[in-house]
Amino acid sequence: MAPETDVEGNVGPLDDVALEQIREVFRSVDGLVEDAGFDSPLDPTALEIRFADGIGDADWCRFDVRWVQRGITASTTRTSEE
Amino acid sequence: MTAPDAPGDRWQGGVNEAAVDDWKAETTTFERVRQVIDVTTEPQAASRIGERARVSDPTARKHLSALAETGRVKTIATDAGTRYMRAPQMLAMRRIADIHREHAKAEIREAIRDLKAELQEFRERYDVDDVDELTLDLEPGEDGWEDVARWQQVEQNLDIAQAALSLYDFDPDDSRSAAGRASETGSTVEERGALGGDSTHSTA
Repeated sequence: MAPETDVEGNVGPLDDVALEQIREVFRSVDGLVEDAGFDSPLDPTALEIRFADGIGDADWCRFDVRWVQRGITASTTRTSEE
Repeated sequence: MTAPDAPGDRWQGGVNEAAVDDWKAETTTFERVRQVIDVTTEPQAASRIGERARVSDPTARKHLSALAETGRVKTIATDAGTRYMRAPQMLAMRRIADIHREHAKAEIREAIRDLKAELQEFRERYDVDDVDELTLDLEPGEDGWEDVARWQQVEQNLDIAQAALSLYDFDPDDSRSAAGRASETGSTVEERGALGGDSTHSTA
């Protein structure tokens, strides 16, 4: 299921074409992004962008990016300290 | 854009302007118009597309016409002139081809089952027949819009998965029989789509 967001109107489904473009932008950032891909090709809910380093003491970081067809965008940040 | 060495020498430019400058330096006018129209879901004038793509009106119009001929762009004639937007069917075909090529029939069937089950859960939870009915019931800001977005997403993914599955039945050259004849065992080992060839695998 999609993470909680502040959707307050009819924003439409995920725009996978826009997310493809966003993925290419992140992939072009040499040395920063470890991997960028959809969580599921058959039922994508977010573009997951994994970074090789984290914020503070975290070993890694992942941005989950969602881009909908109308209205708003939403993203969440996850980090881990291992 | 260069990184400053001293705090007093910090870069004072605008991030958005710098990003646009980089974009213009790294792309052709055609690529920018294509990138802009690919994310345009509401009809817009060529001048507006050109403004977003940082190209002149005539250049935008020329590239949009070329893209319309390939089927990537939809044109709409209005009293105020031609409007342009992305052609959703063409873009959906890319995903359908990727799924058909990269997933076995059984995987697609399983995904379709899961998506249908989720749709049924939504119908029961909200006691409505379809997402449009739920949309009419909800007020702006009310809880439930997240589910509307998800419901629309599930319907879209279901349509795409079903189209990818149906391609397995599309075999005008009777290639399955031909593969069987060519195989020593007389049968194909794996039932996986071949649309689009092997050289352009999606990384989605």
